[in-house]
Amino acid sequence: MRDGVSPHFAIIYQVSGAVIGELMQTEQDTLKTTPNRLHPKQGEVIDRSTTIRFTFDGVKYIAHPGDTVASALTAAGVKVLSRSFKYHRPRGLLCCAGHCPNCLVQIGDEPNVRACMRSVEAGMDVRAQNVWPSLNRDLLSLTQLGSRLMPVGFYYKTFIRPKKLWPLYEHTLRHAAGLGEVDIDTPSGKFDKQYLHTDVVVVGSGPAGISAALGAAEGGAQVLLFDENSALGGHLRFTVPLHSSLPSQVSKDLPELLEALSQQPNVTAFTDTSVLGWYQDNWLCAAKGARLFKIRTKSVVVATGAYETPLIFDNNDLPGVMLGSAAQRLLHLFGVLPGRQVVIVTANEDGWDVAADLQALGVNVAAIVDEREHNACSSPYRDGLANIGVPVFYRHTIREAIGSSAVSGAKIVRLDGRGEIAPATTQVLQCDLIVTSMGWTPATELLYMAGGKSEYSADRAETVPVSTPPGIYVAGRAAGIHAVDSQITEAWQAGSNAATFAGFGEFDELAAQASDISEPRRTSERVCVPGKKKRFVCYCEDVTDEDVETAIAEGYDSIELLKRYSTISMGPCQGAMCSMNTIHLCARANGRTVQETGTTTARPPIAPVTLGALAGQNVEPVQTTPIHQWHLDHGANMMVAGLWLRPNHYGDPAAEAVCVRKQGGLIDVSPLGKLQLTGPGVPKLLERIYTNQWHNLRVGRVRYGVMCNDEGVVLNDGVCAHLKDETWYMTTTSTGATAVFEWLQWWLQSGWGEGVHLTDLTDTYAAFNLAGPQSRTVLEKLTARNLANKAFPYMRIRSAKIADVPCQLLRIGFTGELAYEVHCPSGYALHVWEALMDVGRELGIAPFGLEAQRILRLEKGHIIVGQDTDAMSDPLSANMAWAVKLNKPDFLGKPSLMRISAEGPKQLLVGFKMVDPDVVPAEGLQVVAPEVDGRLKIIGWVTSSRFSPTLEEAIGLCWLPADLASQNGASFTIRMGGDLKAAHVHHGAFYDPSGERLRM
Amino acid sequence: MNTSKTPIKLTPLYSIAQRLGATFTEQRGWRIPEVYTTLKAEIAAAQEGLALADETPNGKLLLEGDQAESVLMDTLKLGALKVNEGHDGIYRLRNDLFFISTPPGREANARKKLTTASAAAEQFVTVTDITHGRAEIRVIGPDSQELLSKVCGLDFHPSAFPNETAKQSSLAKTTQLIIRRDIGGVPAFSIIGAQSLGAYIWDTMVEAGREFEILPTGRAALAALGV
Repeated sequence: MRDGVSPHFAIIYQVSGAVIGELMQTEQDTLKTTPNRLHPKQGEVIDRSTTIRFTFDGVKYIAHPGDTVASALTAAGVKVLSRSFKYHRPRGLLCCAGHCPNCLVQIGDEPNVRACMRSVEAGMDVRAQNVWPSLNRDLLSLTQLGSRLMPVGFYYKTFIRPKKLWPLYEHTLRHAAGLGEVDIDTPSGKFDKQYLHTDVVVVGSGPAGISAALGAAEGGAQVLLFDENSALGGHLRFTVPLHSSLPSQVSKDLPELLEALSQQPNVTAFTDTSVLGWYQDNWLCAAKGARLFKIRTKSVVVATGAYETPLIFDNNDLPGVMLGSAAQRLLHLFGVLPGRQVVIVTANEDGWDVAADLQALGVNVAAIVDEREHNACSSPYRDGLANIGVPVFYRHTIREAIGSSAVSGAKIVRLDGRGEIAPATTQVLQCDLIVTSMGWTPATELLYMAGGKSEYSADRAETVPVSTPPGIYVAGRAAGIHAVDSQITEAWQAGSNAATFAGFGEFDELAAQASDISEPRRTSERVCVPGKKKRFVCYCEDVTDEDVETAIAEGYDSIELLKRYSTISMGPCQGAMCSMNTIHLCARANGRTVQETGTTTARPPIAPVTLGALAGQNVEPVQTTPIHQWHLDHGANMMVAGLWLRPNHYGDPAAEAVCVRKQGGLIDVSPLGKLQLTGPGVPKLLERIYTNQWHNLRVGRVRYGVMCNDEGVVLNDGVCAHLKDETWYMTTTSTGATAVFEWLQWWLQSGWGEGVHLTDLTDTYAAFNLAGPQSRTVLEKLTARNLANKAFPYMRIRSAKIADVPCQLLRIGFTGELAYEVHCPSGYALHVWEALMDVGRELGIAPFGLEAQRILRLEKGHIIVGQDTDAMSDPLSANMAWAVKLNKPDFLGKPSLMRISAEGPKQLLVGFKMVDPDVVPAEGLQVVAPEVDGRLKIIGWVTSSRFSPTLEEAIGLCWLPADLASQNGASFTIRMGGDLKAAHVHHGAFYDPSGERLRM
Repeated sequence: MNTSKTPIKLTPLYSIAQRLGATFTEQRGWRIPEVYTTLKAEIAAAQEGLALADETPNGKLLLEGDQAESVLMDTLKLGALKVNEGHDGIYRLRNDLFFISTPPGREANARKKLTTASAAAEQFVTVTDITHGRAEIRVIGPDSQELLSKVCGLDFHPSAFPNETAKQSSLAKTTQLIIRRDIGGVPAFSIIGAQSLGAYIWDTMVEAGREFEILPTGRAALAALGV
């Protein structure tokens, strides 16, 4: 311990570059040493018992578990970690807290990783990003020479003329723009989300956050405590609290606070978790690595601390210029020296704390440059440091950081009585580290999102919260409270209040009142020292104070406009480093106060988050039928239909279609929507929902129906069976089942539900369509039910046991053949299907998929709603006038259909055949006709087309002008690429137009 | 008529269980997994970690109608239930809609009893057996709340979701009925939804539960746990 130095200096650490036992002897020549690593000390987070290796730009480095990438590189003496966005200037560690862009690196294929926040992992491949060809020799830094061409908002002004050079400009700018690289071939990784529910959320786990959590938990509330750092404790992890006098409820220092927390079962703590935003009704969003949390809470305590504010001066971005809190993090958490010879630039006691720490660790403190008068400094280290010979320059500040790629010195200047730079007072100090401790900006983004307000206190040069919405509380530095004892006391009460708001205990108005805390000024109003070189306000976008002045001079003089024009606060730091300084500059340029200038709007996310975390799991629901595995086992080619996975074919769809025509086939139609309607009100509902008549459908019969919306547009179609007196069984299209169910529910709950109950049985029954001339024979082998045409004719429904399983049989079909739809309980599906296949196989029955079904239905001219119709199609135009009874009482769409009927459809859906039978036009192709001037006009489009294996020619459905469509055999032209192909209108079904095969 | 096989009912998770190498048993006509790994491991997972069981064979009825409550009260002497509350396998989903869960094979009798009671009371009440239409997956174990919080936005804390309550919610982007049915003090939740989504829900649970070392659990372990 040195004389005159406070006991805080009692722990003397030694620089230990030469005694690193971490280095593997055999790899000394390839591994970088860690000359800046200190001897072990209490409170550090690294595990020195083991080492791990990683590379940075191909060079091997070693680290300890617990190191961040930035701390490990700094231990190895690496100062330049990145290049700036626009001018490609070298950048080094600035905040060491994840708040600035200076240490963004690429790790593997992950760009924009904050090196100061990411723990090192063995084998990590860390690379500098936005450099060419290398970090240390980045030729893109030559852009500085042309900086006059790139003033603020240059993209609105320059690189515009001459126009013919734009391709060159664009190519060059695109090459230079952006940070990092994404390898699109890399697997997306696993991301997920979690919903959390609690009474109180505390954001930030410094002394205020922990104390607030304890206050809320002791009130009985369940508390979630979040911190973006890897451990709880906030600034207490790397600073020593001063003048602590703790209330009885909480412990006296960090270990005791943590011990109290560990004893509190009501608190769950999340480290490495960034709260990204506040949304209405206390809905918070947070991210921890690949997991996104969605948090619902009753109240929130914002204990997010404060950002240390950078000072703007010449070359203030040079590697080696560092915030005081960053230096302390490196020293205390990672045992890393940030430099060997330091100039401290400060305006508060925090800077003196840093000086004391560095001095205690053997760093040569070249000078303390304090802009205050000697008597304004109340640091307990003031006299001690002076006594041991540390030069102190009161009423001085820094003017310039000297150096090319890193700090080699500092120019300091004296301030005159008005606080301006006194002429001819510049002194040059040799140093490799410039630490600035100029003050704090409360991190109040969450408070602002929640509707809280702050006001600027000119006395303290900080914003201070003045109002918070119900259920939102602020504590600690975010509330403008810097003294640790006050932070703890006030935060405990804030936590207690939050618990009360959440419903725990009675509200104690007296206790809840905020104390009148007297805080000394810790922040300087001096944000910028004028000079002759570049002085950066915004590190993310390379915006200087001159850029700000230019923008304001050009008229962007409101803070919101200034933000948008200059892009200040729109980069990775989201304003953490630049927002307050910009407000000061804007205020000064406009001759207004900071309060009058206002702040920009805070929006989520306030911390970086990956798109993967926002997107969540890469899974979508998939519906499978009860015999899905059978299809896979039998070589089905599956296709996605809505959410369903269905067999498209089993190898040869044309052969499957022919098989159905000649012998028979079996298709799994389980996805068909199946709705049960019961009650006396069903017929009335059906009359309203469908366009045709239903009151006269007798029990045991089935009828086809079309549903329209009230604009007369076709929504869905299907059949509905009258099972018994008050029970009906409706089927819908496969992909429309849910929509129809919701559509009916909507009407039932909107006044049409009298006497109707609706139940979705889509999944309760599997359904198979057995189609083809042999289908009756097959089925007869499996049931005792009389299937003769007379006993069970077309469009009827019967109950029957098939293979000993109770089923419903519907004599319907989409294929144009004799067909039975077998609906059986889903659990029996495989049994019934296999029974049908076992019997049918002997009779030439084969499974068929959706493609064969589409061929078969097209041969019959049946439409598919959604393919042959769209959001404009009405049933009269879609060749389904036979299913519309305009003479029945009101039904959905009737007024629109009445009008269409009166005026006549303008377009009609009709069948067509190609003149060249081998040419199959793709679905979606245009039907065209020549105009007077010879140009082709689009008059229609193809909706369905296939080569019919039955007819051995191309057939299809298309929309045509009504006059053309109404002429059977009329010719028209389809545009296929550059060719025009002739087709002609075909009325009626292509296959079995009389429908005899259905009724056989 | 020629049918050579006895009808057997399969759950939508049958193929998954086959792939996992489960041994099977029969329960009221349903073929269900008896043991996936070892009985001991499956019991331990359910009691101390996280287990996943296919309980699709449980009977499931819907009772709909403005008078459904009075029919239930008359037939089963059931006390009044608020929406989301349940008692003895009967859960009120809406004012006019109840979900009834029965042990496997008992649904037919329950349906008959309720239908008869409705008819006798001349009440317009519809009783529908949806046993085959819904997959039923139970997550069991101390980590079950944590697992569900990864796939569903509901609050599964016992204070917000007490035992014997039922809620309909979005779960992994699908609509599911979730019933809390603890087993001897161990948290357990039944997830009941469209059988066509059963395999998807199972796979989603397995994926989400990987961090908890989730283990499929067969009928034998459930029986040992008193289910």
